[in-house]
Amino acid sequence: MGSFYLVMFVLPLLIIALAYYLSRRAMKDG
Amino acid sequence: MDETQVVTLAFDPYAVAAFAGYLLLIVGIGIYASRFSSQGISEYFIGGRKMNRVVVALSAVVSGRSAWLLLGVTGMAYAQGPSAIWAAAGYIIVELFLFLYYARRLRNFTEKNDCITIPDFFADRFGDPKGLLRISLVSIFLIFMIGYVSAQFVAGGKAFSSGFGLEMSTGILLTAAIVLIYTLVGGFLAVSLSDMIQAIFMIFSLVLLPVIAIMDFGGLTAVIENLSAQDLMYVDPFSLSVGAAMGFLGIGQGSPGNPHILARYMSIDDPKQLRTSALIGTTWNVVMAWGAVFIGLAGRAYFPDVSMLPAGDTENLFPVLAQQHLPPALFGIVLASIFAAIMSTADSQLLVAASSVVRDVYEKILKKDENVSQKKLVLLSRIVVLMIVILSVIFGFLAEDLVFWLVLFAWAGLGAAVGPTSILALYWKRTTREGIFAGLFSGTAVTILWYYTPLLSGMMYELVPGFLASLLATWLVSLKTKPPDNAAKSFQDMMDE
Repeated sequence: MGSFYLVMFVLPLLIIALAYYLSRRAMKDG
Repeated sequence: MDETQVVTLAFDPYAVAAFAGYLLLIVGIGIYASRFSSQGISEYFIGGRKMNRVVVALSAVVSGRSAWLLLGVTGMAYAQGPSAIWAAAGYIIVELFLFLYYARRLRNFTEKNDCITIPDFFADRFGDPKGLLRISLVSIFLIFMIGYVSAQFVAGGKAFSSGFGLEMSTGILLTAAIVLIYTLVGGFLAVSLSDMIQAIFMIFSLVLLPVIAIMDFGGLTAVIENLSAQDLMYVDPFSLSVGAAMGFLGIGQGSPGNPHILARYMSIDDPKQLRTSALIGTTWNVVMAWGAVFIGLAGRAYFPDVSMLPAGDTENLFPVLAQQHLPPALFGIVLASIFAAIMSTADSQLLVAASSVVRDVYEKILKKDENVSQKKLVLLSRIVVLMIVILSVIFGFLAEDLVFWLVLFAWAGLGAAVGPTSILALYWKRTTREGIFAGLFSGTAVTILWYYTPLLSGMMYELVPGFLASLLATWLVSLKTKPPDNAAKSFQDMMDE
């Protein structure tokens, strides 16, 4: 059951966090 | 609920009114955009490179998501549980990287070299004196795109028939007529602005419906308990075989090769803004995909047997669940979101197919040494849009039952041929024209052969081997041939100012 919550609730947040982090980093790189 | 009870969709005047309001809005956008789009083919096909970050983000993600997301992924999650999410996770990650890196290089190069289409990009990057590269790409685009657009029209026909009780053929004609009106009149600007509205409709439905359906069932815990009691597969996100998981994740390999998505990246006014588009687009993609899977899971709790759905078809789950749990006006909006998914894909594909005929064949090959007026090119573009719609409708009528396999097949064919070749063209200076031909041919050939070999197609989605074959062929042939003399300049053109 833990894997259900991880994939259905934590994974989407992680992907959005990755998008946020990479877009910030790309901004610093110019 | 009695397991033998089959639900049906019913006609409701409020739903029709909400749906009609949506259609009027889309057609209004087409008329609003018509003056801008009539200025020239750069305006008609890529919005004069004046789109902002939000329009590009939403237009790129919804153009890539057809009714497959709303009807197919919900049905997949209904049939096999949360493991359906892997069909979306691959493309979401790939598109994040496309927005951040690939798209910036493509946008910079195409702006500096005045490229309007993807064949334009390849011809300028590698040289194409006899037009063979353009002809090869245009042929690949047209073969896959007409089938792809037909499939969208047939999906529209199906939605009209199940949602409003219309004849399938009437539904196909209505879908085609609506898409034709605003695309023909308003061009890229109309398509992009309507994509934004359609993105809002889609996310609204994909968030609202699962939340209400799950609450009506007694909450998430009740749904999970029900699913666990039916089969543990329905709560296990890792129930796929290795081949199936790779095939699911491999769907993402199609994104860099589908020209209707790439045209969105080329249209942004400031390439630096693509970073914000990456965040907006990814968030939208994530919410839509997870919403679709939650709809499938809630649907499984409500309908433990597939025979309870109309025609026993899992693709009917989305509209049925919406009708049962939402008031009629909101149900009309949910139905509109199905059309939004269909039309946002069909209109973008239509423009890409027309642009390849007008720009790449007519202007750059047939009238190579003449100066054709922009007015004439826009008029011709509109005539070609009309012709492609007619061809797609005829194809849809002739092969109504066959067109659905074309969606995944076209996604694979374009992804395998154009994806690896365009990535190498943007990131490897050593890539050669001959290598590109090898990649285009092997990507298309392996996709088709894999699909038609039952032993192989049962193992994995044809895009994965097609993509790898194209990548390998482009690389190997490039190593043995001479890169274009202007490769260094091309790479400079890809960088930010």
